[in-house]
Amino acid sequence: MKEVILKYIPNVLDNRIELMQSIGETIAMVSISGIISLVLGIIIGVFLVVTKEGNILENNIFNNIMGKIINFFRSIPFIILIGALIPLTRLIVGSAIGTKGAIVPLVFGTVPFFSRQIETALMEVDKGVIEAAQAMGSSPLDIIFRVYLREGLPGIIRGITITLISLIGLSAMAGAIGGGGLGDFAIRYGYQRFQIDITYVTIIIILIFVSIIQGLGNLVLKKIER
Amino acid sequence: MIEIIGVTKVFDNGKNKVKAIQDVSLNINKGEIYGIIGYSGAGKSTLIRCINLLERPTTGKIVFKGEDLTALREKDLRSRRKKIGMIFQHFNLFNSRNVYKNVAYPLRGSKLSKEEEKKRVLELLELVGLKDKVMAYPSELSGGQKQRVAIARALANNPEVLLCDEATSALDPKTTNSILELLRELKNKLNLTIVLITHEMSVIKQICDRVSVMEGGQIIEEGTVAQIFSQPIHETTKEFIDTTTNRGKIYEILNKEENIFNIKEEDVLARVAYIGESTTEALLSKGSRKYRIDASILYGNIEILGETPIGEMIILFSGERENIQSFINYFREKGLIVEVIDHEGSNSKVYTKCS
Repeated sequence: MKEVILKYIPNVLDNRIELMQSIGETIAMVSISGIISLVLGIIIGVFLVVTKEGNILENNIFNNIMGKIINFFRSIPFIILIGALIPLTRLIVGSAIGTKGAIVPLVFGTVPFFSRQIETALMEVDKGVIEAAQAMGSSPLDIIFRVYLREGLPGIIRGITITLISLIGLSAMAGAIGGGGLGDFAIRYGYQRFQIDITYVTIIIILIFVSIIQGLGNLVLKKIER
Repeated sequence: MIEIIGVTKVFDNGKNKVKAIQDVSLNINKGEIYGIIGYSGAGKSTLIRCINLLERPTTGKIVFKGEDLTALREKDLRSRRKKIGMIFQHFNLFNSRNVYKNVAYPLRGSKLSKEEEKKRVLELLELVGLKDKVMAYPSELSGGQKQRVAIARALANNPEVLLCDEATSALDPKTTNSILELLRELKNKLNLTIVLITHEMSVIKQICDRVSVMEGGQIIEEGTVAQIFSQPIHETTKEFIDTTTNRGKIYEILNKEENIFNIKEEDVLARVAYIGESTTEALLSKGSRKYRIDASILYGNIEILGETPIGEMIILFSGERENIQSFINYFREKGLIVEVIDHEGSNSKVYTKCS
């Protein structure tokens, strides 16, 4: 066993402690910025839908401004966004580098994308069902929590799955500017030192992460979809 | 119970304005089943949605139990809506919830304990005959069953009014009948007032007490179902009635080339309609003997609307002109409605429905 490892992935073996550390950092970055993004994204997504024309809390001005802000952030390439956000990141978490420093740009990079996913998911909820709830005397808050978020759950789960997977990709990019994690690890060793086995192992690990998230998503969907 | 007063609804998308309803006023009495019939685009759907303010009228008032709903604050409006149930063409059930939870949805916030809630839900499902489907999801139900769940849900808060927005339009004829029967039964049991809109005259015929015919956003004719069936005035109303009877056919036959009924120029052709009691008297044979007129029935039809029989016949009178006129007058005295149909004898090709 040890011979095989030595033959094919010698550098991984040498740097196994740092590899473990990187995995931990990636998990930390993705889960912390993931949770923050999910919460913010759902809130913004709900607002995007309910303030649309003809909907329960119609507000054209708010909806327009919100839409423009989201499009603005979505149009900035993530690697540039990281740089642009440095002052804000310092202000919020005190440092613009390391795992902590990566969280702010990750949230900014993910929330706009995720809000649109939520928007799409909630728009799929049958308008007739919303109407039925209104006819039964439901308040806007009731309709949001008991109808939109509940009836739109399958779409929301799909959105979460896609978003978390894209977040793993972004976290690797954040690593490139000193955020730590698997991306950082692969670039420093695999790319800069030509230890290509490290690159391959990193890919496999990320692949496993993605599969786990997708698998969990599908499992939940199977349970809730009717 | 419900008064619709001068309601107009204009849809304005910025570019063009569409008048969906124009100055409609209606009174719906407690305990009746009120039908609104019209073709698609007549504005009937908008009108029924104005009643519970799903669509806010541009002008006009909706008065429910003496209170103007359009003047209420949102919160008060919501509490009134609990007293106005509504069912829809496409049922609009919550697909993520089973039957039990669908019916329990409107009960949240009504301060019922879990036990009381359960009792109420089961009671409602019993009422609509779906007690064995408590745990089923909407996707496992047929159209008729879905509508029954929707009815149970709409009745959860003991409403006094039930609005039916094309409630049977997505169902097959047999299921339509069973849902209409259920509605009638519930109306009697729970003392409901029902407002329904439809494009099917058979629905009106089967359960409505009064009916309005809508066209172009306006009500063009209103009356009891018996009145409308026996004396339709507007062309659209006649078209609707023709869809449930064979009345239209007779005119088609009369307009054909051959004169299959052998109508002579001096004969008189008339449409005779009667409501209720006049059905029991042998008016035709009595009159025929009295005025020495041959009367042959080319077409006849009886509808039972609620408990009122409504008859309609196309009769060919042959004999002396004067006597025919007396015969017709005799009919009219007895309360029958007689419309003489124009014809030009045996060479005729044009028969019209005018009197």
